[in-house]
Amino acid sequence: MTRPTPKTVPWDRDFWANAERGVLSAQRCDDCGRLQHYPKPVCSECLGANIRFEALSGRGEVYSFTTVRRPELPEFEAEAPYTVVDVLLDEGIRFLSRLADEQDAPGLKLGDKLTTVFKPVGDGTKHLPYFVKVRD
Amino acid sequence: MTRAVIAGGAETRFSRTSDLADLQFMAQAIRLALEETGISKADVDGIAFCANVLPDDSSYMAEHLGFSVRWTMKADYGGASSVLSVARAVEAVEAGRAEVVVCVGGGNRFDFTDLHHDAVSPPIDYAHRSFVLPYGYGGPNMQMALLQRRHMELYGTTLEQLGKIATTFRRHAQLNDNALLRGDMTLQDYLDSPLIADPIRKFDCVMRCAGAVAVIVTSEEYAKRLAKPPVYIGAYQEQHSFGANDMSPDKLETGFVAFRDKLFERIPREEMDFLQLYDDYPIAIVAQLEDLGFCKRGEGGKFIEDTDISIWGDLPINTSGGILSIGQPRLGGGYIPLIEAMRQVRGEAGPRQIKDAKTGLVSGIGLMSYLSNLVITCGMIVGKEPFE
Ligand SMILES: [Zn+2]
Repeated sequence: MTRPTPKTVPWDRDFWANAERGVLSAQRCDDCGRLQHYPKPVCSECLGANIRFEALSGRGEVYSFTTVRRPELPEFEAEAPYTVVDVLLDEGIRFLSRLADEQDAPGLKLGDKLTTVFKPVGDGTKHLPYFVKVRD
Repeated sequence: MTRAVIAGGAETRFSRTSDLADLQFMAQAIRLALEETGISKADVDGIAFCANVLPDDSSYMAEHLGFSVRWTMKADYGGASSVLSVARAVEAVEAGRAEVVVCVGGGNRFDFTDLHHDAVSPPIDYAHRSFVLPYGYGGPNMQMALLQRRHMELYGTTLEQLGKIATTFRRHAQLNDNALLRGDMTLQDYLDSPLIADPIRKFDCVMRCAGAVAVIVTSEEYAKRLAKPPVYIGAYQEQHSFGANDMSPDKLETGFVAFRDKLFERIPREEMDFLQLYDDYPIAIVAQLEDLGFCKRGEGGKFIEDTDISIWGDLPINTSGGILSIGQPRLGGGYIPLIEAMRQVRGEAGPRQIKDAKTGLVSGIGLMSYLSNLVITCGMIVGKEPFE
């Protein structure tokens, strides 16, 4: 079985293009101002189509997390344990992701500061946002 | 107006493995439900299947099982499909669109895909494909883990409180010979069970199984001809995609808060002799008790600690062992709470019978959303006597 990788659809092209340049982005609606993630074909507030991807700071904090011992898909078994994080970005939207470095996992708690890094996945053309802990 | 009632229902034997195909399981459950109610197959004029999404499918499934009917539906609402199918059947009967509707769900195990009714897995949705699965995330264990982690950290909910739910349901299951998990489980066993997705451990997780359940909805008029008393429906509410459009949806607030006032408007919480709640995880029970208003937000763990939720206690919950100890027969799992509610109000629960069970609540929850929690929540109040 091959590991699932993101598949580009017409409305998320710029998300992946930005990711390839190391930029985390989310959709901003020009009609109502809403910022949204995951990418949607329209603004899910006003249903307008005037949406574009806007660069984000890439910073946020831990909203919740789980260290996965038994993955749902066998393709991920070799990587376990790994830590999935639900991130509250500084811009006020949330983003599901994973710790880039498991050394950040011990002692992790809600509210810990995180920042984005990108890792190539699949055939290497897709860059997926991961997060690392910001040490103060 | 025609009043719809639940005429009866039945389940197949549940098993860990089987050679039967989904439709064979469903056919077996339907046959048992027809036998249980004494209804002839020829009288059935509506059918609802709980199954995953495939286009234009419900009529073909009816054809496969030889049902020529005037109403069909596919309930594709995850774990909430079962209760929701019954609610839709009630509407169909009360609107005069059908008189006798069979609602069925179940099949072989989720992971035996060559025995699924369509023999292919339905395509998963866009958000999961591109923004969930590539991380090795996905599946209810991890999704519930994120919810439970936050609940434990914000409110101090303890593993001991959650373990009380799992061990109480296990004691109930020991009185149900169709429950697959009947071995003794102590709190220590629960705490010592291996971590799956921290803080979710093995004994938090529902076990997939094979089997099917069917429930028959009909008019009060038709039910008068039947040998067994019907079950009446006092109130029903559902909510889809609660909070899904918030910038940062509250992971700990479920759709039950959207309708709890309406659900208990005429029949207050205090009148519930029991609760049969969809229980794929103990934390789901805590969330439902809070959001249905049995306790305040954040106090679900304490409520469990202070309340005897056993058959012999003040607020019996999941008296047949719950899905946690019975097993989850695909989308038929959601009928398990309803079938147990039916047996309790009919006085047919045998060693599990609650004294004077007249009114109870059945819930359904289904699917997990990208950021919030349950995509679908529904609640149904059922009773022994007609509700005014
Ligand atoms: Zn908009």
